[in-house]
Amino acid sequence: MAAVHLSDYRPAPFLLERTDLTVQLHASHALVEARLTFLPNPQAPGPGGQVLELMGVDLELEDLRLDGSPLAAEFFELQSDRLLLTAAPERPFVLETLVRITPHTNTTLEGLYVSGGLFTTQCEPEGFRRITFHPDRPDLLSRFRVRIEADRTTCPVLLSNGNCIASGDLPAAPDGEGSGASARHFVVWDDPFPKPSYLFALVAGELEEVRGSFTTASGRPVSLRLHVEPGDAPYTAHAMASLQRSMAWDEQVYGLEYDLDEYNIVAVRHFNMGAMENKSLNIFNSKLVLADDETATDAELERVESVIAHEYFHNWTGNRITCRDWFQLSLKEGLTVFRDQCFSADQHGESLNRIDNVAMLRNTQFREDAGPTAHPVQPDRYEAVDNFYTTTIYQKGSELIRMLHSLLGEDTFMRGMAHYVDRHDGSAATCEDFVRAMEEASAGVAPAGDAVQASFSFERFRRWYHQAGTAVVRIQRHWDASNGRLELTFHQHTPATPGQPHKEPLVIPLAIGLLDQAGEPLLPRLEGEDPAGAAAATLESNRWGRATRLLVLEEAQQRVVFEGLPPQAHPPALSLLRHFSAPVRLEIGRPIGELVHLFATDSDAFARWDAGQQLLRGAALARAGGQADRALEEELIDAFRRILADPSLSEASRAALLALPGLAELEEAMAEPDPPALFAALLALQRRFGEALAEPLHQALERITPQWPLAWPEGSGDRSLTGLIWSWRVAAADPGAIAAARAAVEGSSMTLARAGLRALQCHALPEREAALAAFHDRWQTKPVILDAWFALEASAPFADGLERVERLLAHPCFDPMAPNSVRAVLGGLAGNPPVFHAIDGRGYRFLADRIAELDNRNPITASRLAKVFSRWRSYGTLRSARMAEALERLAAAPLSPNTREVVNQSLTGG
Amino acid sequence: MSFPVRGARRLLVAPLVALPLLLAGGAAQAAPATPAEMNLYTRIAAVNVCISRSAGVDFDKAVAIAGETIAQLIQGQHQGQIQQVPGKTLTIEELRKGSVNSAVLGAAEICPKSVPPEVMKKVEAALKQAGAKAPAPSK
Repeated sequence: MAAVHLSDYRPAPFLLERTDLTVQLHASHALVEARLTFLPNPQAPGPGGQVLELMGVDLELEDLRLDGSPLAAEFFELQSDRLLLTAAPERPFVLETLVRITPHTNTTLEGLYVSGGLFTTQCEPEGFRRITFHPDRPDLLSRFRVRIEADRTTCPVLLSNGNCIASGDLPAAPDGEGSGASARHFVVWDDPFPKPSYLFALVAGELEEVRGSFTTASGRPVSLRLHVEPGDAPYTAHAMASLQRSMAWDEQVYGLEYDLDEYNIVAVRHFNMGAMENKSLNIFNSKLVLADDETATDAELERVESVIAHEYFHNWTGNRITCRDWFQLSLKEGLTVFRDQCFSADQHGESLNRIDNVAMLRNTQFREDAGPTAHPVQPDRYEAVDNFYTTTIYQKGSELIRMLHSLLGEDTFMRGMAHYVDRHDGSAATCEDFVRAMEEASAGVAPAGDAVQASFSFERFRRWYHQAGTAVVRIQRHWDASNGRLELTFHQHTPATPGQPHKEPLVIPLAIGLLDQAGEPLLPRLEGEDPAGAAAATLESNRWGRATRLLVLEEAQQRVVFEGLPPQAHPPALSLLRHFSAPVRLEIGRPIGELVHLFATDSDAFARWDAGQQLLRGAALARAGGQADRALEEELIDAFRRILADPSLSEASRAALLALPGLAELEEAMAEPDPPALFAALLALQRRFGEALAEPLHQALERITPQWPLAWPEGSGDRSLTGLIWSWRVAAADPGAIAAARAAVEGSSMTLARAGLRALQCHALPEREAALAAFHDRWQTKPVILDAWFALEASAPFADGLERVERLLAHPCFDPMAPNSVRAVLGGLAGNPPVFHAIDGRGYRFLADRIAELDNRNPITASRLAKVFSRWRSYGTLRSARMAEALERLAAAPLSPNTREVVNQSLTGG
Repeated sequence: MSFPVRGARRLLVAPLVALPLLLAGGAAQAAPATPAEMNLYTRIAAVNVCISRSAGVDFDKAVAIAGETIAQLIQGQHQGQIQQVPGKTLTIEELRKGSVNSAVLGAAEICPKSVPPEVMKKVEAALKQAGAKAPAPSK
């Protein structure tokens, strides 16, 4: 597949005014009539005689007309993936096509396909070209009117974007479908807002409707409808309430109202991604809609809420203002992730959400940034655009927006947002457009307001969009005890990444605090500054911790001096990167005592958690290296004991502070990662802590059990801590914990059931088998829930791991067409270190073969799974060789462009 | 568009996997259940009764399941021995009876609304006879 380059972008030669579709759905195929109204683009370069390029994949062209007349063969060229009008008129014209497609055999889950008898679509990024010939580029916005015709019995519900303007019966189809004159029916949908083709959606089938409503701030009623498979309506209340909360939040915080009379969400079992923000007709993976306390964990309920919010927020940041080309994907996704993170923080607390998001970033995006598939937030080339739906585009993109928010302050940032919306509403924009709006807001071009929080170079900030890799900040300190003067020298560099050997310094907002020996904050007063000025420059303490100062690093090396500190032998404890103010790694030698002090006293929740994580990483890496650091572990045990007894902490905070680091993050910290050793080290730590803290853990459990039955979000912290305690105590062979974990599977809380299963998961105990069997039997008719069972069984760390996975793939409830199930089993295997990383390489070969099979039917899911091999070089001689063999094996298979790109990048290093 | 799965959420139980057969030695030990362990088992049984009841499970069934789980646990993990009953190995029937009673008493304390009125009366009478304070009225 040819690479697409950002530098090749040119405005389309023709604008598209209207896209009128008639989609006839039949039992074996679909017919799509498209009527496209074009007009020359005055902004397009070059003289006349333009070629009009219409993309089309797996379409059978039956008719082609220009302004109502059949088009002679010499005026067009039909290629495998496109239709070219070699001499398109230099005036407005209408092009009509009729194509035949086969949704029933479309297993890619792109374009129009059938999921469990339901016709559904997925068009982002390039699925629309599987429905009809179309320019299918995001910078061409047109008004859509869609007529859908189908059998009334099998497809009583016909949905598309916008407002329903007509419906009625049709005569029986000539092929005999249906049994009477009114067997077929039609509905016409009209979307008044011009949109790019990737936001088109169509759904047809038998669906149950759940209705809700929302009245906008301006008093306009909006009808909210959730459409689910018959029988699933009882599980939609949480999704509906989440949607209503999201709509209210966007009005209150951003002043953005919903703009249509109707908002539909459809839950679909077979869906490659989580959810899609099609204008007024969101399509969701059913696992992100169907959820209540009994069927979903607390984390899943929160995830449902945040994804519902994310897709809703796209109505403005993505739909009303869309992206010019796919290199600008982070414009809509990074910004909308930032917005959904802020929403979740407002719903459930800022600190813990931040910790959650950082843990995810470090375990996924940092790993991606250090591997052969590393790419900038705004890439400049791609082969398969599907491969760019990554944590870098989403999560790191969100961190860039967050840094702008931190640097500019709330008021200026919000002014910049308003400016951006005003200027670009109804158009396709770029990442640069967004940054420029912020720059203008801070410079006073936008309506005047407060001063920015910190001065910095926008020009250097823009480098964040173009440079891949995780920046590293190395810090040296010099403490002048007699004068109370602390000198910090910051050195920043970004490691080389594929195609980018040299990097320039970035703008890094670094939030810092200083603590005395009692844990009290010290005023961070810069050299030459008066105390009042220093106090005024500190940030609001409810978000950042007490007495936080935002330093702006812009040079490769920078020196900062704090003075006026109490003269004493020990330097103040350094609380760094508060609230995770920038997506960077820090390198600083802080003694264990200082980290323990921060872990006990830091008023910034993130920095406190991070200090504990550093201690835990040290303990885990020492064990993985074969030598436990007993002294460090004793320090941790003491710290944990205090945390368990600290009445000022919530149970959720306690659970977060006690959580062990993720495996991926630990792998990154090892020169030659040994996943089975790390995995054993983490379990050994669980057992050590479980044994050493038996009494306080018992006491904590007694304190929190009465809160178990509380409905989410109440009681979620208690249940979180319960899961942690069970895991530690089961690892320590506590029969009470084993019994409780086993019993939880029978209870009414899915959070506790899954916590119990996780606690038992790795131990060859009869209770484990009984619990998993009970869970399977209880939920075998609910595929969304049974996927959790598949994942647990696939990650069972026993010697027969691969045989188990083979049995799972042949299980009667396993649906090979459902990406959720595939991910549960194959993803579960990839997350099972002793089996996947077995030194004989069987795990690697097994997964490579399964990915090759999967790639035949679903390239998007296959290519995402193939990324597990991307870090093959880092795993030490033997494992690297075995992984390379598996990659070569995969490379030898006939692969889709998506998976081919990932495999090639992995083998060649980028 | 959103991702189908999120990476690491609140990493409470960080590794999803651990070493097989780790507990083989620990599970074979047969120390009598300590008072702390018995107290915990009772709480667990009681809370399970409360959760089952909130899910609409019949009271007798909820209590029987919770009691059975604990009885099996004490027999399996402690070979029927309890420190509070020194020198005696309790039979499974004895354990069942004791566990069911404990589960009922615990449920009466934690979720009295889930306990049928006639059972609550018996609990109160039994506690009165034993000189203990009756469970607090439900809120």
